[in-house]
Amino acid sequence: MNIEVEHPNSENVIVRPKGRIDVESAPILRDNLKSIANKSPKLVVVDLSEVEFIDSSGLSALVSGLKALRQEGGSISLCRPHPQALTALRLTLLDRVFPIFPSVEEALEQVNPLMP
Amino acid sequence: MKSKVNSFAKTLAISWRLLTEGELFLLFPEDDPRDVLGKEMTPEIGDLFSGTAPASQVVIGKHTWRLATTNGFDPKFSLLASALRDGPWDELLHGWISLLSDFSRVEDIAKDLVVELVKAWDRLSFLFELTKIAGRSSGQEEMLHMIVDSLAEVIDAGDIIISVDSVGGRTTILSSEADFSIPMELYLKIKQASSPMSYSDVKRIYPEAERIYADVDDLIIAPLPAPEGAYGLLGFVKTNKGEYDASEAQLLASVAEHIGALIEASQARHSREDAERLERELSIAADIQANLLPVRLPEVAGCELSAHLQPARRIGGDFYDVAHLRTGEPILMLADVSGKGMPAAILTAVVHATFHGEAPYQRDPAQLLSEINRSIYPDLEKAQAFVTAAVARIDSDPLRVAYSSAGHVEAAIWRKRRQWIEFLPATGLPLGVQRVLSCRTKEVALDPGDVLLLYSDGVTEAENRDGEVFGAQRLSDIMEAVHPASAADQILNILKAVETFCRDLPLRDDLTMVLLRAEDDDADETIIPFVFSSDSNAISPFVEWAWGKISPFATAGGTPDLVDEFTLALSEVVTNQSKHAYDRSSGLIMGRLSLSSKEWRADLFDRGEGFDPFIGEEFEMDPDDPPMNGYGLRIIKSALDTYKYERQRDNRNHWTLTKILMGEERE
Repeated sequence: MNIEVEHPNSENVIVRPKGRIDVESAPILRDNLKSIANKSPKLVVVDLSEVEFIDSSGLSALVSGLKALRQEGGSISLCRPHPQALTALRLTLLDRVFPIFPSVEEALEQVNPLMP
Repeated sequence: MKSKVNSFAKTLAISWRLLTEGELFLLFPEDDPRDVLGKEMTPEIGDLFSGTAPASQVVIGKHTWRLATTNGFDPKFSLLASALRDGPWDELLHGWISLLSDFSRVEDIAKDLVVELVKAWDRLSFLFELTKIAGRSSGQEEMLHMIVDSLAEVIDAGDIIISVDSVGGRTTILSSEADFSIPMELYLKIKQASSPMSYSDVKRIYPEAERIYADVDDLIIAPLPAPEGAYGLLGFVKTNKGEYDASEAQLLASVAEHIGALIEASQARHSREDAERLERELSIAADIQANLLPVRLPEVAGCELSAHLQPARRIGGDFYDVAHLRTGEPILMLADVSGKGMPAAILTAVVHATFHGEAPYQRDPAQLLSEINRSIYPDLEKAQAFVTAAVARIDSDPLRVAYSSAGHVEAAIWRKRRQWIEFLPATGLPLGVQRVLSCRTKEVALDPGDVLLLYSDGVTEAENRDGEVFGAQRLSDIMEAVHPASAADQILNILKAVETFCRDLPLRDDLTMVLLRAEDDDADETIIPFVFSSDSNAISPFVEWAWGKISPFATAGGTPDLVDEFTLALSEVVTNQSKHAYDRSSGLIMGRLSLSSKEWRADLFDRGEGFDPFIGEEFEMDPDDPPMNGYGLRIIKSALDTYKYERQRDNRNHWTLTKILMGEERE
């Protein structure tokens, strides 16, 4: 897995992990999100469109990133998950925790979430 | 004058013969009916002259030479002709020709010098010839004979002797007329010398020489230098022609050095050729041995057979085979000949042939082994080898096996109903140990789903880098993990387990297996066995593989999600197994997928620490404060219909994961 980070403006960060997020690679995502949280952005959008597979370690990394951001007054949204990632989020009930959007733009605007 | 020119002509003719293996004729002056060497001008030779190219006429000084050769228009001939004229081919030769032209005018003064020059040319061409001899000869001894013949022909050095070390002693080659020998003691002393020895040197180091060489006028002997020490010696011996001079001693030394180098090159070439021949023979032997294995195993009512032989080297000492009693029952044999490589391979062929000769007439496997032992005992005794062999006669309806083992490693039976492994120990000593072998036969009934495995000790004794062996316990684990699968899949996975265990360490012994699986009725599901390393980087390839195997079993109606759910749960369990493995490098995770359109099940086995993840605390989801951990367990519990963890005998973990596709309400 590798991660690209984009700063479209001063308040938002887009994080694009690519590949598999599992027990081997999850720590990289977790550390990335933590260091982003230190800069106190308002909203971090994690674009999952190039994540083929995510397991519980990957989900834990997202949760720990969320907690770090919330402490700084920010939050995380997810967008464009593959069916596998959606299944993982659904099984763990994390689809109730993370707002999920069909595109990066909608995630940034916080409109049209996939689930109510 | 003509006689002086003769010497030169002789030089040319000899060097021509050496270079081209043809004859060269020279005419001088133009109208002499004989060539300069005194050969009669037969009509045939005359034709050669009339047919040759203009270049064959060479004017040197006042004289016109004419050349002809039996080689036709050999390109070297025009080279020679133009060299004689222009001198580009060999300046030395050209120089001599000029000199000789001069000498022919000052006959008496030049007499000795001409002789010396001719000798020098002879020697030069001889050294050149030596290199060619090495290429032509097929062996060292033939090469030395050719060298002696050439030396005798071109050099007036008296008798010639070459004596060299050879397998089991010494080979001595003499020129045709020579009657001369060198005692071993003198031979060894000369071999130790660093330079040529004169007659007086020889008499000094070996006083006996005075007496045994009473007829000899003079001799010079030089060692044939080898990279270490000497290969032997080269000697020139005169019995009636006076003494050797310095130039001859020098010639001896340089010829000896050349011969040494040629022997070295020839030995290197022959050892390479030997290696290539051996390689060819080995590959033929490997083919022959592969052809000894049965092309296909018989169809036997009530069971399924599969076999595999993985040789550690090109050829080996293991084999398996099947023969039939005259009454039709198949008889399996798996044998392991002691030792490795070619000797063991030859003995496998002997055992194989004897097995086929005896098997049709011996109903009792123990009796069959005794008969085989009786026939091959003398061969095995001579070869100081022994053979362990397991023989099983298969009887159908009900399925039974009559088993006898001459010192062979225990056969294994996986008992499906009791979920237990049994081992069948040897029932007698190996073949070749005693002239009369007494074995017993054990009758074993096989119930549906039972698996009998005959194997060679290469399986259980396969080692990894830590010196740990695969062992009976891992064999038992993998047999349990894969037992409901097809016989061929089971063998494949046992093999994969051994290879995964050994990792990059090459096999030291052949791996041979014959597996018999008793048919089982309740088989409307597809069994897909697997085994992989507990190393964490083996997880994602396994998960992807599993996804590919499971997805064909997903029927219409949103089931792709179910594949993701089941695979994700599988991944969580495997991650857990890997995390708690004792040894990630040689640890194994093994098991099987049992798939149908109604239910998916995964059985996973490992020998890591005992750890039940299902006893985790209950999952509470508060969206405002989600838990940090516990998602793996949550996935397993919500993705599966049933899940079970069991800490089994011998510290083994067994995980059973089930997803029901039909007939039950899902959450």
